[in-house]
Amino acid sequence: MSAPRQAPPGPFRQLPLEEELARRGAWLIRLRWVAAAALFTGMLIAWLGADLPVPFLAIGAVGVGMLGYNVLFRLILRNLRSREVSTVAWGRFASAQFLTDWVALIVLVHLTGGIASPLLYFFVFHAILASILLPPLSAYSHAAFGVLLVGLLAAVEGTGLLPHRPMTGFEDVDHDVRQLVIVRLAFFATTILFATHLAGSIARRLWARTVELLRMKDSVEAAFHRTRTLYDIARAVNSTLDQSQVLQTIVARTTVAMDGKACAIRLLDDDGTRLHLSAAYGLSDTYLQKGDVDPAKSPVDQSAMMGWAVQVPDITEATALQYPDEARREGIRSVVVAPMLLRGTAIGVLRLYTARRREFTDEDIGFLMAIASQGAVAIENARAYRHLEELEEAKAKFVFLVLHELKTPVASVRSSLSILEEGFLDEVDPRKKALVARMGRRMAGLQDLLRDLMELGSMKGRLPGRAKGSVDLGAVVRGVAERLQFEAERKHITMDIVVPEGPVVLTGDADDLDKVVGNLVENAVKYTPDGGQVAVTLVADQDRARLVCRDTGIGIGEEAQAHVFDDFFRANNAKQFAEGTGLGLSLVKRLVDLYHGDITVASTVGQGTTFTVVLPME
Amino acid sequence: MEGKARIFMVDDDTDLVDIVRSVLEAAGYEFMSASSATEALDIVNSVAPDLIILDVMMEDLVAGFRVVNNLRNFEAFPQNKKYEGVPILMMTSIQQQTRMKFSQDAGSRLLPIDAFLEKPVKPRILLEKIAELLRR
Amino acid sequence: MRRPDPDDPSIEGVTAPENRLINHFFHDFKGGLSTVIMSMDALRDGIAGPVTEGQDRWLDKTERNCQNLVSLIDDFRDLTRMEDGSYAHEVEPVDPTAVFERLSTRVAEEAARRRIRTTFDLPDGLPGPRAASPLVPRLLDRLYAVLVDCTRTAGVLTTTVHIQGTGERPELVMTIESEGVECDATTLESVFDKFAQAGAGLQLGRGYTMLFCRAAARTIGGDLRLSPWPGHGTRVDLRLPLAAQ
Repeated sequence: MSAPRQAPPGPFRQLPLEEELARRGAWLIRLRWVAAAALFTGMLIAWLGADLPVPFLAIGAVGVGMLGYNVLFRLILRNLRSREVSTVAWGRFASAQFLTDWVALIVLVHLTGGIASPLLYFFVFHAILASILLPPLSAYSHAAFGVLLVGLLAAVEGTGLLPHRPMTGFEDVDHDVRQLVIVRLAFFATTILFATHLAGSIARRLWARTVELLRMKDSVEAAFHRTRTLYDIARAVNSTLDQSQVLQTIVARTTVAMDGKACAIRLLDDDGTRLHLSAAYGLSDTYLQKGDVDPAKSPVDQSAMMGWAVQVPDITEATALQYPDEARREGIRSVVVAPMLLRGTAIGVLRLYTARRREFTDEDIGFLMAIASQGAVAIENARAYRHLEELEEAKAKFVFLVLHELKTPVASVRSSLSILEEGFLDEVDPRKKALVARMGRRMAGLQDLLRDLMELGSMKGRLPGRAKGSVDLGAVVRGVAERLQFEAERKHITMDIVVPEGPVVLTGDADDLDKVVGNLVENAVKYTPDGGQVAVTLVADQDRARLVCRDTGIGIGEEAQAHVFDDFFRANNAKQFAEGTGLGLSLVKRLVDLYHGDITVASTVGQGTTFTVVLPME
Repeated sequence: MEGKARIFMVDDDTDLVDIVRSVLEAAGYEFMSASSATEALDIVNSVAPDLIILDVMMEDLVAGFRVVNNLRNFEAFPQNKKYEGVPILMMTSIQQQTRMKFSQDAGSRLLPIDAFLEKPVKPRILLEKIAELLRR
Repeated sequence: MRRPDPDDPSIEGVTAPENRLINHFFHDFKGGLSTVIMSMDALRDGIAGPVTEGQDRWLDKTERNCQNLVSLIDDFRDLTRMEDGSYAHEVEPVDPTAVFERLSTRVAEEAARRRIRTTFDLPDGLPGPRAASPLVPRLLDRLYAVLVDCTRTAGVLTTTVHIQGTGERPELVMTIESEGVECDATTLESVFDKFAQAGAGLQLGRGYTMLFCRAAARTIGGDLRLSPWPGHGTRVDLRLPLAAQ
């Protein structure tokens, strides 16, 4: 796929027709260089070989004159091109070139024998060129002007006002015999007019075809561009469920594809009374702040809401808008309003604005309707997705509630068991006591499971840094160590805590960080056999805090290390060593991710495990 | 035969394995266990069980099915033909977790096991079921 | 706003991991409870020596609490599946006569503790065994547990059963009247609102049980409705389709 086509700069787009006329103007100028070169070459040949009695100086002067005015035309051409003028201007430019050429040619004819001049035939070329490059009427006028010029020259030379300068060696026309001159002129006029007619009718046919082709090319390009736009919009609609993003794409692409000034989408609000702005491109903030549109006060929107596209070619002449003055101040001249139809019902409108007066074609309107319906589909997709998301959220909330309510009965079973275990009912012998204690531990495990799952659940959909505050990670580590001191002593595990003197301040929530540190250190104590060591080191390193939790525990196998942060994952050796939910480390990982931190594990089975957490500091 | 039969239990719940061990040993059975499908398949030959009690979800969701497939698909595992007559009792709580209808599928080609019990199981029911399977 | 991968717009893709987590939880939770229940049973069977009568009663009570938790977890899991349409609908042979016999015995037992009088008015010639969902007995179990709970001490709980419609699709229609609190329409509707039930506790008889019963009835093609029994209590109308023999 090629890059999307950009609209050309400037308020006007160069039509191929005008470009074609410019090309022809340039062609005429190039031909004149050749003509001038031919003139000088002819003079050279005449001077060297034929020894003709030609007024070299005068003819040379005309040649230089030709070069001069050709340079002038060249400059004018460049100027016209840069201003991107209309076809009429190009017609005038061509006429001016021909008239100047006629004058130069008649001077040459006079210098080379008047009506008997061999250069007289050159008028035919010009007549043909004019009929190719100019509309028929201008071409005939030019031909008639040429005949008139030659007739005048003959008359002037015949009456002796100007000397007739026959060329020696050439057949001359005796000006005294008037009939001869008239016959000669008549033949000349017939030739010129006939040539004009012939060339003109052929050129006209070609010109008509050219214009047709150019128009087709233009419309094919426009159609292609619009198809591309529709395709791009369809792709945008399917690639995201973010409604505002899709609508923004639509208004931007539509403005460019339609060569407009701006585009906006307004959607009907929930109670169906007002059109609320949902996306805009190319409009000033002032204009956008004009407020919601009430279709009842805006006939164009009213029509659009009934399913019809409406255009206002000139808002200065129309009263169909709710805010005409604002639109005028914004520099808007024409507006099209297309309905956004979803299964036949309008859910909003798409408006396209242009700065110039413009009549929109049926194709334009059809294109806008197609885009508007794409927008409607996007909106429906986004709404459907939002609905599903709400359902999901409700489901998650329900699960959360149920988990919450399971806590009490689980706790009550657990306490029932401990009443039995403690012998409050009747004496229990050690065998029974051990069995009941084991059941109690299992119930405690279920309590942990509920707690961990609820914590995971409460993480869902939480935005990073929800609870903003400054937390001293050092204090968190000391708190956790204090809490676990008893359990460590029970297992004769030495706890080695190294925390910097000053505070290690992070932005976040103390509970979150307590969970991170607590789970890691708790695990270290849990999975370290009696008499082992647990070392927790906190280092503040410029903008990051690094927490290292090292133990001499059972270790994690290489294969298991890859899954250690997965939900419910428990390594085999861990399962056999102690109770656990398999959710602690996945909770830690999610929290660390939430804080844009990083957690890694290094371990050797039988030797110990090291978790390293790096968290960004304030 | 009943008193000497050797029961092989495959389950990753060590608490459950221990309680079943107590129950079965008290009833006079010999008891051995494995805590994963992999371990079960590793040691099944040395155990030479008379009956297998099998959980489904262990190291993964379908670990138990893997064991069944190994012991019952004689085309793929001809060496396991000797277990053809060893009943498999599936004991699990995941019934609804799969689309499989355990009670009906038990004994079919789809799930070639001999009996199915949904957890929680009463010790008395378990003993009855084992006795029934061993009598066959 | 959470945005799914553009290449994978399927909503299933969005929710699947969440469901896996919940399924895993169900498994672990139910597994743990099952082990505890079996341990209690073994203890009562004398696996670690004889237990005293007091200990046995205590274990029985605790075990029943655990059983209730298992039922709740099962119901809750199936309720969520019925709601999202992923419940695997099974069919097995069910004998209505046997179901009602067992039900009336059990209900009478439970009701006797609170001196509730129960009556079951069954039509002559209940149809013979037919294919039905195992949800039917479970639904009736749960429903009557709630109703016994709601009926006032020494109150009346009556059940009238009749067969409606003949031919291809006959229906079992049950009208159950429970003497006790007369609920207004709003309260009755809130019974089926899962969020309104939050905080009602999870003892069997409140909370999500009615929600489960209605979802189960609807899943197998029937329905369950509650209405006030003016001046007396609450009425339940339960329709269950009877499959062809």
